[in-house]
Amino acid sequence: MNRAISLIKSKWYSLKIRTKLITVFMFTFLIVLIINFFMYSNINAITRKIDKVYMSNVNLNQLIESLAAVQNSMTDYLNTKNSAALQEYYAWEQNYSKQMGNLNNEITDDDRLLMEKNIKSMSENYLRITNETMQAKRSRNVEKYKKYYEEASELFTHINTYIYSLNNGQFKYNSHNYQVLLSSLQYLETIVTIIIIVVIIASIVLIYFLTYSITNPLTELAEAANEIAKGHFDVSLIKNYALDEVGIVSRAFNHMIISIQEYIQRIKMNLEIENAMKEKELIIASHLKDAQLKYLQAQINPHFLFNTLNAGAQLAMMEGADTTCVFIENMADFFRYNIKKINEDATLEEELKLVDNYIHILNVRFVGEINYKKEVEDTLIKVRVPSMILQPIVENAVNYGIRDIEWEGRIELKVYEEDSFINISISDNGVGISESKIQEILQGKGGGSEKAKNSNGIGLDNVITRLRLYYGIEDVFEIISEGHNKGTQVIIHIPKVNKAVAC
Amino acid sequence: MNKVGQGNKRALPIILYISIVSIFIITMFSFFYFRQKFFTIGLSKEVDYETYKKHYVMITSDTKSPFWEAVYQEARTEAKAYNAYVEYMGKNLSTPYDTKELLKIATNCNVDGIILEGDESEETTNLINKAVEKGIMVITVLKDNPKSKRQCFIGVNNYNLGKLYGEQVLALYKGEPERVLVLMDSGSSDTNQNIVYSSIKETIYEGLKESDTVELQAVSIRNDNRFSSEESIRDIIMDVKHLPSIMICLNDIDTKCAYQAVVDHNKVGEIDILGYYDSQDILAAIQKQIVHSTVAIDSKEMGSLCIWALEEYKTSGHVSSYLTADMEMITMKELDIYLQKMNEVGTTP
Repeated sequence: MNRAISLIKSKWYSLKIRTKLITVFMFTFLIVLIINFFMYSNINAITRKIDKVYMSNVNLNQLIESLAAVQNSMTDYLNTKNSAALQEYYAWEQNYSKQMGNLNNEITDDDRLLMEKNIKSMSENYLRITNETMQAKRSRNVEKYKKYYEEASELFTHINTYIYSLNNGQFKYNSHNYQVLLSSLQYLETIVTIIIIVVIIASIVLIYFLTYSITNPLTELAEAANEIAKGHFDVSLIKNYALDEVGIVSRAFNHMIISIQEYIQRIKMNLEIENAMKEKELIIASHLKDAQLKYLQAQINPHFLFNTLNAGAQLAMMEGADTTCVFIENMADFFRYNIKKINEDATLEEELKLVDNYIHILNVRFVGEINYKKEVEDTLIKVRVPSMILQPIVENAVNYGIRDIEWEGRIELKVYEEDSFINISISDNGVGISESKIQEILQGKGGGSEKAKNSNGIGLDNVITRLRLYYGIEDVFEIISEGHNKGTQVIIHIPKVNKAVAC
Repeated sequence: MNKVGQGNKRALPIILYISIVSIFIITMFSFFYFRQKFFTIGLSKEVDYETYKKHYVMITSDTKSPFWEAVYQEARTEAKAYNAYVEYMGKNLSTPYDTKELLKIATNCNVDGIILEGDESEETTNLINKAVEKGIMVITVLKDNPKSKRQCFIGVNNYNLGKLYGEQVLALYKGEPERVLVLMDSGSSDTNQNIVYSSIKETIYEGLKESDTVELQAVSIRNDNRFSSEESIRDIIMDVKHLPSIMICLNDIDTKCAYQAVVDHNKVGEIDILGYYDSQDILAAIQKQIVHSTVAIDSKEMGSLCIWALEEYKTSGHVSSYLTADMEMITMKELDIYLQKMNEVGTTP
């Protein structure tokens, strides 16, 4: 049963609308046709039966007429001895004999059939007597034919009575049959009416569902299309399993919706990527601008200072003050690097050189010697890094770490490989930084007005931001401090890929 | 709405399937149901008959009489065993014919045998003779035509019948003068009635020493037209001055007329009716004590005797010319026993 239903379902879905419509209408017409056929065939049958019903009465009436004609022609002949009457008599007699032949001849327990048998026997006797009467008339035996005539007349009356009675009986019986037929006709009428009503209701239901099945997907399609027209691309897909024309359109529409949704998704993703990139660029650019601005502000002095320093160095050389000469040269190198490298990245070597320059300057400037020590693996000095990243860290270590300590300040710079990173470690034995301060610095909230005064202008947050942007890693910068007066260590983790690129 | 739509769409093939199947089933069912109804009711009856070899007819003066009907039914049943059919002639005719006419018709119908309620008229004698000459067996029942060539007469013993009536009259006699009327057919030539009458007379006068106190009178009921007997009986009862104390009816119709008239004229108890035949209504009248007693002729025996006589004659060429059927007097006393006996036999009259 279930299989049959699913088979019908699949068959139905695979039909075209045209076929569906034709199927349903053909079905309806077929049923109506069957009903009509049924009705007409039965009406015909009933009509034939009704015809048959009264046929027996018709036959009996003809029999009576013939009998009367025999009697009349005989009487006529007896009266007039007219030869025409004689001929008529023989004609009717033959006719009557013929009709008599149709009557029942058997002894049965059916009253009407038995009456037929009686009529037949009497009629035979009657015809015999009439013949004898005619014979007697011809031979002019008056006595005889008068006697026969009376006998015949009496018999005629009896036969007539019998036929009438039989006719009545038949009529009663036939009327009963007629009633039955009539009632069956009414019965037929009721049945046909009921069937027609059922068929009409079933057809209406069928057609309703059929048209619904055709128009509903179309309505859904139109609704979905309107939604899309309004810009709502996330409409749900239309569920239509039919293989008809509407089903095809629905599936095409679904494809379209999916394509549109995919396309929109792609565009969205591209936009997001583009936006992210733009944002990154903007951030980098803004930081660079920021750094640049600081240096531009400082540029006036360095240029003048730079030239002045060169002149100073030459003078010192001429005077034989070598130490002064080196100091001035270092200063000059320091400022030159600042001016030159601000817009581009540099090698680690260059950065380390700058730190050297800076330390030299500081050592000259402050009486207290800064104990600076560096351990660099030679293979790593060509690694490219953003410019101006080490000096600000060292400057910080000097300014905040070891400036005010009462013991000898030491700054140690190490460049070494660890796993997939190149680590640049700058550590001091200064006052250290509290954990909260570290967090502030890492979150870009560190630094202050004090710092700006004493530095060359580039803050730690600027360095951190640029490093993060450059390498795209959040944990590129690490600050470790074990507590108050226990020094600070700053580690920059550079992914090795960059080294490879640089090499 | 959408969800409903989806559901409907899925249900569509099932609805289609169900509709098609149901419409088909309804149509086919109606079709066959109608055909069946159409062909089974009424119409096919006409083929339902049997055929027989011999055709007997029964002719009586009154086709409505239950007595004769009972005789006929028995005769018909009995005849079947001999492959013969008995026709109750005149019953289905639109014109009422008397026995003579019917006898003529039967003769002209070339039947094999005639069971006739005879009378003693000459015309009947001639007609019987004519039929016999034509080779048709004729037996008379209940009323004879002794002068004719009829093969056999089956009746009751009229002498005994008269005796039965006479005994009843004696039983009713209470020492006061009684007027007893015997209702007789006006067909004066009927010797049967006369025998009954004389037998009644003989029995009464033999039983009574003082014969003056019972006045026995035969009243001729005009039987020449159909309803005359009823009128005559009413006349008797309406004649208050000469009211009879006992009425003896010699046939079932007279019995019915008499008791109806007695009831209508409020003479129950004044007139005792001695009836004839044991039909249901006569028995009921006995129970209500309107009719004092009735003579029950064994109609079944009579019917079967008719057929037996016909067959006997047909096979052996001769039959006893006088056969009698049993009879008994039923009064209030015997009624219960009688009814019980009837029920046991399975046929109430």
